[in-house]
Amino acid sequence: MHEHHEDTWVNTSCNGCFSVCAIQVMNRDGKIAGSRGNPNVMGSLGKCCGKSLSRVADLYDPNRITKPMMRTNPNKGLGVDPMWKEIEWEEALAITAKKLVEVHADDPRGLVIAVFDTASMAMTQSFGKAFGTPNFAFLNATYCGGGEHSHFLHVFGTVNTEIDLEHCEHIVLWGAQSGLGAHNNPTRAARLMAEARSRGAKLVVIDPIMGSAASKADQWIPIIPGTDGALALAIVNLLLNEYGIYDKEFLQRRTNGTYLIGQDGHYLRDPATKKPLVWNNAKSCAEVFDAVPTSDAALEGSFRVGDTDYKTAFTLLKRHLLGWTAERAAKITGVPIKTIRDFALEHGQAARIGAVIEVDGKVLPLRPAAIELKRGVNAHKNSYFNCTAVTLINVVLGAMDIPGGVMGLNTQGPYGAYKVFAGLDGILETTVGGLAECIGFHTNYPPNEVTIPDSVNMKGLFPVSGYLSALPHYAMSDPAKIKLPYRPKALLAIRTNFIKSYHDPRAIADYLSKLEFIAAFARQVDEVAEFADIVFPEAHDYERYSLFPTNFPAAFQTPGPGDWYMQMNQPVVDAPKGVRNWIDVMIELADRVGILPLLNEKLNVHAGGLMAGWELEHNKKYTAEDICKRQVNGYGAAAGVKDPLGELNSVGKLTLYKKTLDESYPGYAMTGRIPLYPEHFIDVGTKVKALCDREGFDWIDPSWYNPLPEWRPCPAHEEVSDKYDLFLANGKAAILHHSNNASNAWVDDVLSTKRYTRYVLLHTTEARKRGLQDEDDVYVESKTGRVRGKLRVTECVHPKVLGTFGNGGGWARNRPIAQGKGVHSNSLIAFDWNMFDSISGQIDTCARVRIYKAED
Amino acid sequence: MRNASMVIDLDLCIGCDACTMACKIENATPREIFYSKVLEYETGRTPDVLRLNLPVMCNHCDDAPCVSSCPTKACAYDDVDAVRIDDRKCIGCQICVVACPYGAISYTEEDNYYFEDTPIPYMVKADRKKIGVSQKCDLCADRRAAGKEPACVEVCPTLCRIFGFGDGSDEKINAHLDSDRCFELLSVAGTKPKVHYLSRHKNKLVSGLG
Repeated sequence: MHEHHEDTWVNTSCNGCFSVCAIQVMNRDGKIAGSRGNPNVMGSLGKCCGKSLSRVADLYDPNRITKPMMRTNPNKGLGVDPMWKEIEWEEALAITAKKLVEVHADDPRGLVIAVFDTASMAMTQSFGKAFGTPNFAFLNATYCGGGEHSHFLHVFGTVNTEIDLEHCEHIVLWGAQSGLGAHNNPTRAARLMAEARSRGAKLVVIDPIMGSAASKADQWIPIIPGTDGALALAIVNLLLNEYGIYDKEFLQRRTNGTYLIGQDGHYLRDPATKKPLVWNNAKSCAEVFDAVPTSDAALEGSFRVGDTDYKTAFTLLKRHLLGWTAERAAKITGVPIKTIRDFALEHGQAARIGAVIEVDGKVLPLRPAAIELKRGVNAHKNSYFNCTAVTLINVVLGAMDIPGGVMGLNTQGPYGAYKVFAGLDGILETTVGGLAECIGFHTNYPPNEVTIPDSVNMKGLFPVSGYLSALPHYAMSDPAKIKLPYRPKALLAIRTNFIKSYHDPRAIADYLSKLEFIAAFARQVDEVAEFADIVFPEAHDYERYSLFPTNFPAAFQTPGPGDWYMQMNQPVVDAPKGVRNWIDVMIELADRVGILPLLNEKLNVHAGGLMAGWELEHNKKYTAEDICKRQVNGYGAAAGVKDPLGELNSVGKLTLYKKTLDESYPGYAMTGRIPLYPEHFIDVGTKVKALCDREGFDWIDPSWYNPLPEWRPCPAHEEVSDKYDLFLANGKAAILHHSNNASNAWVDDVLSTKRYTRYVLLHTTEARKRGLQDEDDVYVESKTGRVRGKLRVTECVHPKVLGTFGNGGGWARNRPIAQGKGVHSNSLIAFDWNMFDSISGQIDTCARVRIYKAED
Repeated sequence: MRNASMVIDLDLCIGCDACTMACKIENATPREIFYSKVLEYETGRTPDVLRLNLPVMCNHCDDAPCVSSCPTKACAYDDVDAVRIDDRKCIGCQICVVACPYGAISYTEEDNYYFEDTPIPYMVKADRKKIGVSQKCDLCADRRAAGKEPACVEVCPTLCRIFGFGDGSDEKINAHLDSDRCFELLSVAGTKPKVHYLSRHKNKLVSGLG
């Protein structure tokens, strides 16, 4: 029988993870029948990952909901059946709008919007601002980078980084899996990493677990979780104080290492201009930092000005680090002394300080040794200092934003989403706009105001954090404790399963069940939606437009040479009857609440906004499609493209212009200085302490504000216990994205073939000690909770660590595929007010656990 | 003689399972049946562990036991020496399943597709013809007929899979077949597999994996 099919490939974007790769999806006779990477787009290089391919199954999963639902059981809790009743859209919208009107009239700040939809953050940001609530955020900060993003804002002026894999020869992934199936632009990075390794680049992976990254590494350095800062400080100590390997010119030009510091820890300032002073070697006197030629500014030494001695910041750092010997670090980290010493020397030498490379006729520094840090370094109580210490290695070697080094994503680029410049005291400042702002990032230098918090992210108490998505759960669990001047009452949960991605589900369940109203948008009723009063069935991104065009260059576009371009997320097939785009539903709700004009006004501004001539009229009701196309047309017109939508449809990207050299490798031309010595921490610490003393906030420890990097233990490191004798660690599996796709039928099937992903990993020697065998049913227990799992006895984990992968062990009724598969390690981590970083607000994922055979 | 062959560079495979997924989709295989999958092995002691991602599939052997043992000649070579199973000739005796030293042939009598009442559109292609007959990788015969590479090759983000012809005429794979890193799985079985692997850990793997 001859079958005739109408096949159409549609250029769109994959929203299967935050990277939002450009893909092409096939519509066959009105159904999705295939997907692939878009070969025209440099972010994906014509490839897509297994996650992306599997997403078709989500569309046609019979567990997908297609009608709004209302709970009939007023009781809420873990394992409680909501007893759903299907209702009509009108009823669902009316109930939700009525509650929103009530909250709006009482105190609009009582509305919290939680979202994980990177392609459409503009809507939540704009809706929140129009409604009058500051509470719109990711709530999944166990996986996102409070410390890392804050730190990157300080040193790069942007929130994410990638190694320049085209030039790097000594690639170090530290608690990271970039280029091995994870992080930004994963398919492109996978290709570049493979090419780099093929040409002989060395890959070193520092990680408690041998995940996919370490499995490809030339050297795996297993480490005890949360001790990364201690190892990094020892490495910097070796580089500076023993091996003498550091980039003096870079430190003089791009850091505040030359600034003179007094006994009080503060900069010595010019009495007239208040600018920091440096020592001019040529003139043998102190002068304002920007008046002294780079090569004349003393990097090291003690200098007498008036009748007082001042040391350079670099001198203080160098001396401070003397205490961080390899021997000391080895005891803390579990990494042998020789490994530390050898690594430091090899990495330092690989940086080839002084080497140059010609790019586009210009001679740039080449530093082909770089370290990328991610969640393994970040997700700890000592997050900010962990990140600082690791990046210090890149900084002292000058491997920042130049060929071969680690690159900030889009520090200079179109739309001014980030614009890095020399700001107050010559220190690197940045603007945060566009999508970055929508996701909840904010600038953190100069530091923000210290106040009693007005928002659930407690911004006022974390003035140098740039990203605070870990803290809303604490604020919502006990708003009185932070003296929040209102009570969170209603929650909109959009594509987010934070009860699984945060610690201790019981703690989250406790506050969720006390909220007056929850509406959730979901394709399947996940663990958070089980607490909702109303669930709206939402469209898959193969069935909808997104706000704004995805993979906004301001956010995650890969650094280095190439074009600035935009992608688009557009429907490939119609959504099932009864299913709507959540963005359109938000517009409808805004209309019913009476804030539509304000919403339009905000949408004109946020996520890069709409170009002149393409703004939304305040009093008109638009659709997601209208707004998406207006932005494409606006930016296309500004870039001189005649038919922007046509170009997007035919090519899959809208090219704006070729990056300039300054935009490709901004490091060589940047003037903002990296705060090697964040002097402003002293005053910030004083202010935070004063406020905390006054208000009785004893759960913040202002003593962390120290301009010299240190390592302090996480609560789990200090726990004295013979009972809980292992450290918990959680790694990433390339096929999984949070708990998001754990219910995908094909992913589930593929995972059934995998040796490690759904198992509990215990080292061979530790298993032997305990009499445990491979494939045993086991319990893993901490002070917080207990989970059941299958044991994998392995050499692929640090002997003191119990390893897990992904976010498994689902329990939602409507997600039968994910139920009980794998391990929910977050159930083992304490929800405790001593678990977050006092500087960045990052939450700690360290826990002490024990393992024993399940006899039942 | 065209000797349809594949070279898989284990030094490049990151175990992302894009190939597994692409294969599953292309061939509309039912639950728990994979024509291609990535196995994981480890050898060595911490921290000098070799954790291996090992993509496995039908090896399209030159002396294929499935071909020689098939009573109905359903298992046979096509025009480029890929081993294929003809659904119409297969009687489901499963001799091939037993004969294959690689365990690369599957058989099911269950209608074990993913969603009972709502088959995914891809599954329409399968039309449930593979129930009660042996099934395995045919190096994407339909795609090859359309001038495309097998799905697992096209999708690989690290380009670790190379499809070509081992008759000496194909520059794409000639150099690899001569490489010091090149080996075959279970070569002791003597079936002359045409799926070749590359690894800098070749010696360790040949002794460890047989």
